[in-house]
Amino acid sequence: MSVVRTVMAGALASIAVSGCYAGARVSLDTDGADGGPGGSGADSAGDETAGDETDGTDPDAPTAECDGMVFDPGPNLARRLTVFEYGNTVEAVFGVDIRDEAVEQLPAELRADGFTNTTSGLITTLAHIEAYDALSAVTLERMPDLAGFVGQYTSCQEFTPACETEFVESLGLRAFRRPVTEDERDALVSVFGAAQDEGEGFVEGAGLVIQAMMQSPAFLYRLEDERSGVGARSLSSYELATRMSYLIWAGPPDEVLLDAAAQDTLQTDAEIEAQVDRMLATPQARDASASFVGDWLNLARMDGLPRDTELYPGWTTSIADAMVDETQRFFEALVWEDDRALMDLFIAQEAWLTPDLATYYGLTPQGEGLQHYDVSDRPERGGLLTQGSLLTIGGNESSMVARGLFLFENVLCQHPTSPPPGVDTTPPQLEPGSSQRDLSETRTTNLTCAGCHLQFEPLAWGLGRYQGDGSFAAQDHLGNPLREDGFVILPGSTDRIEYQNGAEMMELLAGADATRECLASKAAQFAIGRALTGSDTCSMEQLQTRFAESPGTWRDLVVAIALSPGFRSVRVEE
Amino acid sequence: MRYRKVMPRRAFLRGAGTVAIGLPFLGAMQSRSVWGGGDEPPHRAFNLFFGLGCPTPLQTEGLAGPLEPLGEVLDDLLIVRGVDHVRGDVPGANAHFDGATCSFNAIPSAGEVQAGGPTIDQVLRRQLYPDGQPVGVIPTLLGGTWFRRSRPGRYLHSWNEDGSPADLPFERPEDLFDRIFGKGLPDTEDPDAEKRLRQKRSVLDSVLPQYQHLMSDASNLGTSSRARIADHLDNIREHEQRIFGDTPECEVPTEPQPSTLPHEGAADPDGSGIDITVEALTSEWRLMADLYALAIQCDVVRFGGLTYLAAGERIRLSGDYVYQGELLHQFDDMGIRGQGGASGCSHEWWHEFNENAENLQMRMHVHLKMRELVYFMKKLDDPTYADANGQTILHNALISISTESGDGRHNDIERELSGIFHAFTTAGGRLRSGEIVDANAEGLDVYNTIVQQAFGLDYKMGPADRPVNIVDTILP
Repeated sequence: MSVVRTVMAGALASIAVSGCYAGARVSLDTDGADGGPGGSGADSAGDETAGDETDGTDPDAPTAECDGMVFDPGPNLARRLTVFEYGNTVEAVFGVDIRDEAVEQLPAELRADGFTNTTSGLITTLAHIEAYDALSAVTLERMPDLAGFVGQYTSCQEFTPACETEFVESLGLRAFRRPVTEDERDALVSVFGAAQDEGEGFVEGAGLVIQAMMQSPAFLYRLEDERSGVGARSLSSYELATRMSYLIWAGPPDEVLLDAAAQDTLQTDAEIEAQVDRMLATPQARDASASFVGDWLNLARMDGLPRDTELYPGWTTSIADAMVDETQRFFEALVWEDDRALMDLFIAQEAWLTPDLATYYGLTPQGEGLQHYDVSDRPERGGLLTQGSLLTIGGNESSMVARGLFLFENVLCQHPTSPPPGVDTTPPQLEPGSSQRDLSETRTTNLTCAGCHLQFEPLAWGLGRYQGDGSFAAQDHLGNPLREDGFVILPGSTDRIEYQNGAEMMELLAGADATRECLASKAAQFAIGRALTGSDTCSMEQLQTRFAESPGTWRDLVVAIALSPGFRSVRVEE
Repeated sequence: MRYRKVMPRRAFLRGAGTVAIGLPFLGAMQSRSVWGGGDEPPHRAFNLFFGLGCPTPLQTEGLAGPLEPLGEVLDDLLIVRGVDHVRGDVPGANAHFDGATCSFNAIPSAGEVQAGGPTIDQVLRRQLYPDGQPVGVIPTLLGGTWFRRSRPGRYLHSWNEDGSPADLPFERPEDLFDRIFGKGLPDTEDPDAEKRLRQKRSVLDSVLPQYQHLMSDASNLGTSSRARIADHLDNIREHEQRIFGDTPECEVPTEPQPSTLPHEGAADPDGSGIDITVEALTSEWRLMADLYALAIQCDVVRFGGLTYLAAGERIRLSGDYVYQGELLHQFDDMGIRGQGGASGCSHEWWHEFNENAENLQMRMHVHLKMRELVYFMKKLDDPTYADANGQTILHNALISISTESGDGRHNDIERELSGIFHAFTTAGGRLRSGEIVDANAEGLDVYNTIVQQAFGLDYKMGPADRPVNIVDTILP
C-alpha cells in the first residue's frame, strides 16, 4: 500500500476506492476545448458547440495511471467565486478594491469539510444576487476614470457594432477568463443600445456593460466543459489557466496567463511550472496562501473568542487577534521570505508577536507591532502548535479530546469513528488530583474508549503544559502538575513513538511522511474545492510522490498540485 | 380568492417611518394568499427541526410526558414513533451531525455541507411545482434560532436534489424580515430613479439569457452544475420581481429591532456553549416564528423550514419555565451541573439520560422545545388565514417535525439513530392525524410513503435499487 493510501485511509474509509473509469484515459499533453461550457476558443468564438475535439481516448497520449487503473478526476461542479475570490477578481479585472463592501454585503461562506471554498456549499441566494447588483454599481462609482478604463479596451468610442464588439470582446476576455461566446457578446452589446436609447454616451454605456459582465455567469462562476469527451478530458488551456490562477492568486488569470492559454503554451510540465514560478513571485500569491492557512487552521474561530477571565485575567479579544496575526505572519515569513520546507512550520524557532502577546507569552517585548522573536532558547514557543491560535482549541480547560482531534484530523488527515452506542460522553470534571492528562489517560486505558482515543489523544499530551489561553504553565488552576511527555502512533502503524516533551513531539510530526502528506492533501482539497474521494487516489499518488521528492516548500507543493492529473482534467458526464 | 386589499409593500415602505405596526399586532392583520387562485390551497411543505431529540422511552409516555404541548395541535398532527434512521449513521462523522443531516431525508450525508439526497420539502417542491412556483413566491425560506454551528448540517435542514443546501438559513429576525419583505426601494427623490431602473432592467435583460443558455441543450455543463445555474436564475427572477414586479399585498410589520442574541462565532465560542435565559431565547425564536408564519400567511413562501436549536446544541439555560400559566420548572443548567463551559450545557442532560431515572432536566428541555414548536404551528392554525378550502394552513400544509438521535449516546439505548422522534401534520388529510402511531419503520419508507402514497408522486427518495416498503400506519 502506498503512503498516499495510508494517509488517506481515514478519509476514504467510507468510499469505495473504485472511482476509475474504464476507457476514460486522459491526455495530459493534449489540449481540450478552448473556452468554457457553451463556450469556444479564441479561434472559434461563436461556435457554441465547439468543444474538445478529442474524445479522451487517444491511445498514444500519456495517461495518468495508478496501479494499472485509469483515473477519474472526480465530481465537478460549477464553482461560484468565494467572497474572497470575488473581491480579488473585481480588483484584478476592473482595478477597483471593493473587498470591504463585498464582505459586508455578500453572505459569509459556509465552512465545511475544513474549508470555506467547498463547492457544494457555494450556493447562490437572493442575497447574493442583490449584492452582486449593488456591488457592480459600487465598482462603477469607484472607478476614478471610467473613460480611461474603457479606452484600454476599445480603440473607438462610438455606438457602432465595431466599437461595441471590440469593447465587449476585449474586456470580456479578462472578465470571463476566456473569449466571450457569440451569445454572450450579442447579449452584452445590446446594453449599449439601451444606453443609447436613454441618451447616454458610449462610456456610460460601457459602464452598464461592466455591470452586466459582473453579474454574468462566466464572471461569477468557474465553469468548465463537463460534456465534451467520454469519462474525462484534459482541461482546455483557458480552463487550466483559470484553475491555476485561482489556486495561486485566488483571482483571475492576468494577461500573460491568458496569452499563454491563447497560444496553448500551458501544455507541458515545464510550461506550467514556469507559469507557477512567475505567479508565485507576485504579492497576490501571498494573500491567497494566507487564505489557505486561515481555513486549514480555522483561524476564524478566534474572532471574538471568549475565555474565562477568572482563569485567564489577561485575556482580551485583541490577544486573540494577535494570535491570528502571529500565525499568519509566521507562515508568511517561513514560506515567502525564508523559502523553508513546509514541515518546518512545526519546528521553526521563530515567532512574530505584538508587545502584548509577547508579554502574554512571558517574553520581553521588543517594539511596536508584530516583531520577530528568535525563540531558539524557548522550546515551548517554536512552531505552529505552540501558537495561541491553535492552543486555544479545547476551551478554557484545554480539553485533550478537542486538541487531539484537531491535530488528528488537520495534521494527520485521520478521521476517528464516532463513540460507540451506550457510551457516556459527558466530559469529566477537572478537580484537584485529576488533571486533563489524568482524565485523558483514563480514556486511553479504558477498553471501550482506547481503540479510538489512543489514536488521537496522545497528540495532545505533548501540548499538556499549555493552558486554555495558550499560556505555558507548570500546573493548572487547580494546582495539578502538568506534563508533556507521551507518545504518538502514526497512521498506518501501531508503534508507539515516545517523546519527552512537546518539542520532541513536534519534531516527530515534522519528520513524519504522514504529516507532509496530510498538508499536501489539505492543499489539494483547497485547490479542487471539495473533500478528496476515492476517485482522487490515483492523482494524489502522483502529487504526493512529486512533493515528497522535492525540497518540500510551498512552491513545490503548488507545482505538485498544478501538475497533478486531477488538477488538469475534468470528469465528463456520460 | 383575494382578501382585503391592504397596503402594498412599496407603499408601506415609503411610509414606514410613520406607520407603527409591530409584530405584536400580527394577530390583527388581514393578509394572506395573493398569488393563488381557485379553491385548492397551494402545496406547502416545511421542515421543523429541534435539536437533541427526544429519547425513545420518553416518546412512549405519549402526551403525558414531555410531548405534552403537542396535544394542543394533535387534531392536525400525527406523532410517529419508531422511525429508524440508522442508515444515516456515517462512520467518522459527528453523531449529532449524522442524525441531523439525515433528519428529513433519511439518507447518509455526503459531506459537511452536502446531504446524501434531497429533503422531503424539496422533493415536494420540485415535484409539485416542476415549472417553478408562482412569480413572487420565495423558492425556499429557511430560518430559526440556533447557536451551535461547527457543521452546517447541525442547523441547515433543507437540501437540494444534489445534496447542496436549498438556501442559507436566516438567524436574525431583521434579516428574515428583509428576505421576506425586501430591503426597501430606490430613493424616489432621485430625479434619475426611473432611468436607473430602466438601465437596471437592460443590464438584467442582458444577463438572463446567459444563464438560460447554460441550462439549454447547447450548454456543456453537467447536471449538477445546471441545477446550480437554475437556482441562480430563480434568484435573479425574484430579484427582478422585487424591483419591477407586483409585490404581495400583504401588510408589513415594522422592521424588528436588531437581534441582541449572539450570532456567528460568538454564538458558538469554541464549542463551549453560551449562557441564555428562557426569556431571551423564547423572545427571539417567537419573533422568527411570527415572521415565518406571516410569510406563509401572505403566501410568499411555501417551502422551507425552521430550526429551533441546533443538533448538539450547547446552551446553559436559566430562568422560569411557564406552561399554560403554570410555573413548570426553573432552568439552571450551569448551577445544577456545577460547571461552566461545555460541561455545564443542557446538551449533557441528553448524554446522561438514564431510562430508569427521572431525567427531569432533560424532560423539561424537551417540553420547552415542544411548546415552542407548537407556538409556530398554532400561528398557522389561525382560522383568520384559512385557505380557500376553508381549512387552516396547519391542516393543509405538510409540516414535518424531526430531530437528531435523541438518545445522545447515553447509557441504555441499544443504537444511535433508532427511534428518532417524528411528527407530521395531516397535509390536507393525506396523512392520518389526531393520534400517536408506532411506525417501526425506516425513515426512508416513511418519507417515500408520504411522497408516493400521500401525494401520489412517481418519485423515490434514497437508493434507486432499494424497494419501498409502504408504511400504512401513517396513511388515513
